[in-house]
Amino acid sequence: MTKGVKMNTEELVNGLENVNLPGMELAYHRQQLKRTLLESHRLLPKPLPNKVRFHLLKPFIGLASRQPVWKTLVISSLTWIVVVFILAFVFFAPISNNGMTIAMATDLALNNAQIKAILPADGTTTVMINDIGNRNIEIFIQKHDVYINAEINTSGVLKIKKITYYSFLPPQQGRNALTVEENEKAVKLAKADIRVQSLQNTGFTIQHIEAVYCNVVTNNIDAAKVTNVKQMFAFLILESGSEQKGFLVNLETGLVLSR
Amino acid sequence: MLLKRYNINHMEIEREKILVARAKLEPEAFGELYEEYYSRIFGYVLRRTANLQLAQDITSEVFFKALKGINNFYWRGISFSSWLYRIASNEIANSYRRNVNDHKYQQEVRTSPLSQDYISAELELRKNEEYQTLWEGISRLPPKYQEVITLKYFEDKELKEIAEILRKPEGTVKSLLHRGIEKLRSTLGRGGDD
Repeated sequence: MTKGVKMNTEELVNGLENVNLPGMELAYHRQQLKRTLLESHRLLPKPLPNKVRFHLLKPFIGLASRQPVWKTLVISSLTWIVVVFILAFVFFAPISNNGMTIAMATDLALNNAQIKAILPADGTTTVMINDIGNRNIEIFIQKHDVYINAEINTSGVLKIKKITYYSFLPPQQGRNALTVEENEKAVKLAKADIRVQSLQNTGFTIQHIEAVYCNVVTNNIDAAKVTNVKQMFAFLILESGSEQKGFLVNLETGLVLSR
Repeated sequence: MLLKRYNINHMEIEREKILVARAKLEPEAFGELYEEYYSRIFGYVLRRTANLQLAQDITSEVFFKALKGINNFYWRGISFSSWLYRIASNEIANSYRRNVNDHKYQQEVRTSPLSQDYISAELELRKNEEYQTLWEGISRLPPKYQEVITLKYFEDKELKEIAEILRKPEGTVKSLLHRGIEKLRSTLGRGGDD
């Protein structure tokens, strides 16, 4: 192939298909990059496997951390400050008819030993607390997709009533496409979620929607009953460049979970 | 070493899925994915840039982004390898805007340009005149044509996979490829004077 020589399309395609391509590597770069990546991997916060439950992890959370203690403490403290600040800012409103504030409920929740145990050791999660009326609150721990329903009694003691875990099931054979109506409903519910809205404001767009199935394990402490049901969710993937964020939407309850 | 055609066996999808799931927790599994894809990604970036230094930096950036993003990677709509190629394509596009010394780790992992390894690779890269001529022509095209031509002819990707990597409909990829070839033919025919 010579520059300045006219050729037809077929000749050019032939040239492209048969050209000898450079395929060399730099062994030093390959090895050094791998070493640096693996070292970085060890310092990254890890997601916990879905099946791991907080009561099993509780005694080991501190021991399992591979980060230096000071780093964990700094990250945890900063995260707590941010979480409390956001909660106080967004949700500072009296709990209906009881004179208690969400800030107080937050304080109770975050100081509850059972809830503290479920939080990741590195502090990298979002905790959301919603007032659902009648001295009841709903606590969502984003990182593990755990919902906790609790009641704050008149003496200001937080009592956990129900814990719900969501975990993905492996891809199911058969239906994985949503109907047009389900699709529209999923998008509408997702777009009403504050986390989806904030992602969309930073350029994320919904790129993929499909049906997925989750195991929903509910531990009803009041009734001393554990249920395990399979539920269908709409799974939405939002993308911006090479970044992806996933959300599960329960089409029946309207619940939106970040994955 | 020059390769006639850069064929690497595709990792079985199921094994790859398991590795990706493990890689979210275990460095060793991420290491296995790295070993599987390093050559392909480095090769792709090198064939796009024809620059060893840049190819090292961009490849480093691709794998660091993959490491940071793997917890948010979901096996839906795009395979892991296409995801890596997508990051690589974005990074190539960004590379001209970025300061090459932005990241400390890039300098730490670079091969010294004075090393024998680097000099030999540089000589290999330059002695292939046919590739150099094509690369010079391709590099004068707008990036959207560069991407489709290199993915199709240098990386042996099917239209479907290119569409997945570039997040474009297959029909668009096909017409970009057609127009790109015509533009390349005209660029080469002019001897790259434009």
